[in-house]
Amino acid sequence: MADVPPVATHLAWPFRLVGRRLAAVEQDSLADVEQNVRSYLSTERGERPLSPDFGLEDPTFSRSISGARLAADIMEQEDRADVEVLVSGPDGSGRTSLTVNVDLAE
Amino acid sequence: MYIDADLITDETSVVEAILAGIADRLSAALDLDEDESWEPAEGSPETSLGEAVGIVVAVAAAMVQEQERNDYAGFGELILNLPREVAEPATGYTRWDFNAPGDYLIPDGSELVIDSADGTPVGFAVVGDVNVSGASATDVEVVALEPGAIANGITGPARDWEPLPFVTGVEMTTAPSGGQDDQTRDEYLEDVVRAARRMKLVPIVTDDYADTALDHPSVGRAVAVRLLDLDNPTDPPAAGGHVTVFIADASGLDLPQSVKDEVEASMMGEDRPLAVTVHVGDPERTDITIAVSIRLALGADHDATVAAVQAAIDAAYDPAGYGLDEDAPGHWRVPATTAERTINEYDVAVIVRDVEGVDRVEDVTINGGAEVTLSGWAPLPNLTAPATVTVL
Repeated sequence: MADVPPVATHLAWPFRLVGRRLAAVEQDSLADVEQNVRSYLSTERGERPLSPDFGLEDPTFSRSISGARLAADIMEQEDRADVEVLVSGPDGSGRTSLTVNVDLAE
Repeated sequence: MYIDADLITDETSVVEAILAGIADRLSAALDLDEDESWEPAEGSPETSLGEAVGIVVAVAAAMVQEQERNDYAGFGELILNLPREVAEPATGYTRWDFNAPGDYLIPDGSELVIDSADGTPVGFAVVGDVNVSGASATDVEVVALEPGAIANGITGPARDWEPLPFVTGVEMTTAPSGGQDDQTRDEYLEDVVRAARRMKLVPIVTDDYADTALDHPSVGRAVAVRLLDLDNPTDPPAAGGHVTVFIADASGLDLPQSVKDEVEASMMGEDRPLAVTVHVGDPERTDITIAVSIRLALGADHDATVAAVQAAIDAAYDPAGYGLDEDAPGHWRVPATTAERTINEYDVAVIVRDVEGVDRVEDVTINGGAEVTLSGWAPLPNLTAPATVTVL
């Protein structure tokens, strides 16, 4: 088996075990960038005291969501990502759905 | 200036240190090139965890610094006995104008209010009943209702005063003074620092010299005698400015001259009371030869009991322990009276009587007599040989 050159890795989120070790993602890989984007989307802005600008504004009661603006915000935080946000809705119950496509930036 | 413990209390700095530590360790462990080294990202789990830990660590560090400040203030108040300034009210003098000449009483506690320079109303009260005849009362002493420096220096007419029917106006004629706020802890810490800086590890009183001698690692015990010039001793000592320190090692033995010179030098530096000359000497030893006659208890072993008696006497007059007192300055309690420096037959009998196998002590001689008096300023006994024990 050929030697695999060591690479920098980050903990995979959510935490999980692979064998007896915590799963990891290779730094600068798509998985690494994807989980950072997911972290951004699941964090409410101001939630992290030491990174107050990280995360989404609470969209509750927003009249509309701009996919382009959201994608730009994400890419400003994670410059390794090429993000596309597709917005559908609101539906009859007022619910808006987002589809976030992430790729590695050129 | 008070200096805080060297701890990082800034949360962001702690996080940066944590992430930098992760990067250094991982890069070193994996032998990564600089352009491939581990780097934190805003959204990576390590950054979130580092921030959480950083906040906790920074808060804990700040709490430690806070506790150290409190401890140091406690050191000032309890150990240095340095008083902390407490708030005091200002005192001033006023003139009270009346609507017509006559005899009036301004009652104790009559109040007035004057605005301070920043517009804050400050209340004062009259100190004691003031009886006055005339159209006004001058130099009426008033004290601020609230302690603090804000009342200092306020002069001019009062904007409000006690509703006495004959009073038409009140004016502060002599600016109040003496008002002070509670001293803040940080201000007090500066006082403690200055007081602590004045402290010197120099011997002042005689016992300090004995205690200071123990700072030398070879010295096991020491006793200091004031006014004693070891080069020209008198009894009683009367050499002004002289102190003699007698030292011995932990076994009660004499110390080499080099050690005595070092002890002397340690007390003769620049940081010392002026014009004190220190001498260092050896203890004075008095030979003692002890003989005892005993009767054995029923069934006691002759040789074992004799050996035990000799061992007990040897232990009692071993210079390693004789006169040793951990609570005494220099750990040495020297005799203060003739009785204390005398070893007599009863002292020895008490030692022997408690030895297992001894039924009675019939006779004791010390140096062929009933007693011996130890001589010298720092006396120690010198048992010339194991005690002679005769079993009757």
